[in-house]
Amino acid sequence: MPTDHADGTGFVHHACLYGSDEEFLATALPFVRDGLVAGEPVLAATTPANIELLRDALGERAHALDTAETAYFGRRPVERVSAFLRYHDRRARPGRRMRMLAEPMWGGRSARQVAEWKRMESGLNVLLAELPVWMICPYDTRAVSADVAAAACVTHPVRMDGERAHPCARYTDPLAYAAAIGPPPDTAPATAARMGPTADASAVRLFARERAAVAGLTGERLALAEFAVAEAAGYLLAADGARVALRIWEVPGALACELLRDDPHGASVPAFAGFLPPAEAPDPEDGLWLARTLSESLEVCAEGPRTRLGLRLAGLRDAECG
Amino acid sequence: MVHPHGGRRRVHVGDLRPGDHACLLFDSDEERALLLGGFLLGGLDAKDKILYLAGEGGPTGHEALLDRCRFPAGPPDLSGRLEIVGPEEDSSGRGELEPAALLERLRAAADRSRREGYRTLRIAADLGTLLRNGRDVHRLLRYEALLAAEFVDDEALAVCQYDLRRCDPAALDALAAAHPRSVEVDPLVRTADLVVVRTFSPPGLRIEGAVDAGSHGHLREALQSVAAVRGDVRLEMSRVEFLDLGGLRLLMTFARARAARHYAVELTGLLPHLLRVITLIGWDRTPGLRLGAAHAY
Repeated sequence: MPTDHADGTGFVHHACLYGSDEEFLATALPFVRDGLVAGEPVLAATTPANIELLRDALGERAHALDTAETAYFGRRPVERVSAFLRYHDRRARPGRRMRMLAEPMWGGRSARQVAEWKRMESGLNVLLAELPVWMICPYDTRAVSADVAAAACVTHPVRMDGERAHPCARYTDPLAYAAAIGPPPDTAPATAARMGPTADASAVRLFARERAAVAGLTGERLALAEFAVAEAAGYLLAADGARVALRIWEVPGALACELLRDDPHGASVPAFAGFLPPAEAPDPEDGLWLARTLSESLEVCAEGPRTRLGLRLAGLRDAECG
Repeated sequence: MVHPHGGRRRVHVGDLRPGDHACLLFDSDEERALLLGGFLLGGLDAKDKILYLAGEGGPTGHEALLDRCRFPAGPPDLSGRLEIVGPEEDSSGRGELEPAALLERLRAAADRSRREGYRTLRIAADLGTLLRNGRDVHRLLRYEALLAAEFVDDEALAVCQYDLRRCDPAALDALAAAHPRSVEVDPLVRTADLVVVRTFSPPGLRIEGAVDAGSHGHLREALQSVAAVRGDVRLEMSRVEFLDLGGLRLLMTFARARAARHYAVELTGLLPHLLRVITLIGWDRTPGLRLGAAHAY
């Protein structure tokens, strides 16, 4: 396997499109085995079937392989990024690169979720840029749509074919990609409850709490909905002179919220803001990370001089987090 | 165990009003000093006459009483405003408390203070030190009952101090029940949304209300006030309605600083969603942090 990608200190992000178990192993096995031989921490976050293939092929070396069933290694993109970072923080060794085989799950996802995961795949190039991690993302062409397979070559700068690396000609700058992809967040219907614009963060929070209670949320779920809106609003209001307007309405299974800010001069929300979990030192994006983590989805949309954050919070009829 | 506040309504010492009859059950000299200091300063501000009923080993003069309060900015001038009654005057020649005679004395003092133009008579009593047997408890209870009846006309207010370390728990329960209110020190923070009160057994803070970006400074200062405590600190959070991420981070930073001195910070009464957020971020592994039982919504 060529080592030119493996010797750098920053993040290396490759895709691997495979159509059979043999094709999967042709890339995955040398990647994993070489890492283990070099004493690097190696994680395989893929399907249980692929984990089994790898273990069988590795023989004794399989004991040293870290594995995670990929569907549970971060249910949503923000959790996925946190899971990568947690693994890195737990296993990092000074001066040593680590390897991750990270296969996203695409089956059964809604169009909105597919867009979010594509956006995250692209965003990893920015979010993890400083990490000494070599990541290969396998895409099973027997299972994913042609559209998803094509996106892999837009969101990864290099594609692996067996042990050979090919630059992806259609690789796109992550910020440009994020701006272009996916449906914009829902806009509020005329019947939505409305408040603001205001600079008063606690007024926004209390309004959100009141509307969430009207929607039937109670106890922990009500408190988490209040927390998510408060942190998202707090993030937007941190810019000098900022004011936000809040719209809330019910959709099946969720409470939809829209936070609108006419951006003060120079203030804008980067597309990948709030994807990195809080570290020891405080960061202005910490609150947005929490809002993303507590929401079913959080989308950032720049509309000229205005930022729109769309949040979906688990509603009364969401039985999953009851 | 005797609970310092039990089911009684709490009143901050600075909020005492004529007609209040409150007990202070304490087991920390620091708490008593702060409370007594607040009591005396409150009397000065409100133009009250102050009567101190000292028990055994209590302060015998102004200076001894002011010393006990450890005023950080130096003692206030209480000349002419403060009268101290020693244990020999509280009781009969045999050393027994005489409730009726003591009440008569208080009534006369109240009349005198009114004639002298004071708003009200402010009484601090430390009679728990006179308890030696069951008969003393009975007499003290009789005195407390008479005192309670005396307050209907709002001509006096009283704080009765009982040292948890020196009194029998059964007697304390009965004595505490004779008071409609319990008194505590003034809050370190009191805004429309947030109240933070110093607590003493164990040492720590009770946080009530909402912490958001506008009140981080207040919370930071309140934490600073217990930064020098030797030993573990407990933060009681069951009345926290909202605590944002920045506020949580202040608590974690505080715990880390305490851990560096080999002390712990215990958070008790946390609402479940705050526990969940702390765990989500991984802050449950913060050095020095102990997470106590959660509180129901």
